[in-house]
Amino acid sequence: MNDDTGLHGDARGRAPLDATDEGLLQEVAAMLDDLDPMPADLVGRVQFALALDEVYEEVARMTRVTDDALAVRTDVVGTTRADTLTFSADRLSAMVTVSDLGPGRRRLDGWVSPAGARRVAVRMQGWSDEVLCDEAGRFVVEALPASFVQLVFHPRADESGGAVVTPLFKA
Amino acid sequence: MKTAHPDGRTLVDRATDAFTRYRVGEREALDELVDVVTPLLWRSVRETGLDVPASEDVVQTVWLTLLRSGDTVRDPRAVVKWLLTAARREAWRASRRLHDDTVRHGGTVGDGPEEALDLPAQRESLPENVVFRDERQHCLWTHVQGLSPRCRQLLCVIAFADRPDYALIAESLGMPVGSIGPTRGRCLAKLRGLLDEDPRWEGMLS
Repeated sequence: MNDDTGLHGDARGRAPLDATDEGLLQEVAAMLDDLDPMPADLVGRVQFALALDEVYEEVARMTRVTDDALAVRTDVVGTTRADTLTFSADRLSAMVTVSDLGPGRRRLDGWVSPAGARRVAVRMQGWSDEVLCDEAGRFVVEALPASFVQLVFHPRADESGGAVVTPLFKA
Repeated sequence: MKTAHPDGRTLVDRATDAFTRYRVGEREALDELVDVVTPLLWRSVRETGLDVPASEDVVQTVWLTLLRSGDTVRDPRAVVKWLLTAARREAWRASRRLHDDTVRHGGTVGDGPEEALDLPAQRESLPENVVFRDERQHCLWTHVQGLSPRCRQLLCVIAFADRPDYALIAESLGMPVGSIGPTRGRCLAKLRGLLDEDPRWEGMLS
């Protein structure tokens, strides 16, 4: 523990909060709003992510794959950009590559493990779709608008338990 | 510190009210809860040293987790503490995933080893194009960065809260009782000390 965080400090730390403290904290807030503001659309995105009709049992943890060699590995010809994300939950894991097909158009190539036929719901503001994983666990979403997207992985017919939902990510 | 809300209710009051209404079936109250608490969650996650995209993911994950397991929050008054605690845990997990192989330096937040959150000694550096409003702001930034990671996180989060909520928020961040509110606490005393000793600060009017 750092020695400047505890209760048993100098007398100054035991003095009541005063107007100087209040002013200083206001300046800290203004400074952070200037230099490191919360993204303006974050609240709206969270509200959209929560407006799910579907019941889910688990939230997948999302990780952006930063390895360039992996991120450009895609079967799609003519793409100019590809980002790879991985999702992990107790009951499944998934990898999704987002490819740029040109102005405002994206394609998702996904792979879910354990493999097998399962429904994947694709949610975007004003747009939604549902695709099916093949027996190898692969799924494709073609010609998706470039915007934030959320996936819901449903259980296979032979699996018990509920769906797994992802946070929104940029497609 | 934020200016008090017109109706005199603190952030925790407003969050408690919204969460209570959501639980009895008022769906719109969830949007209100998100609106009230997200800025605080954002700040608490950013100060763990995660970058902007990772911080956004953590904030979303925390909310999705509340929607699924909100029933486990027994007392609606505990919702802000629940969210801040969940944010601390998620930020720790995310930082483990991202920096598994990097050595971190800095303080530790948390009650036990499983919840311990390593904070970086220095947060990520500012974007290159950042412009300080004035020399006073530059000076304040420098000294806030000069605090221990735990103090830096505490003050940067508290700055977006209301005074009666300080103690609850400090506790939710894993800080000792008395870290701030009703007394100044050592973190704020330390920052004032650093600023008082800086001749540049003295001459600059706010």
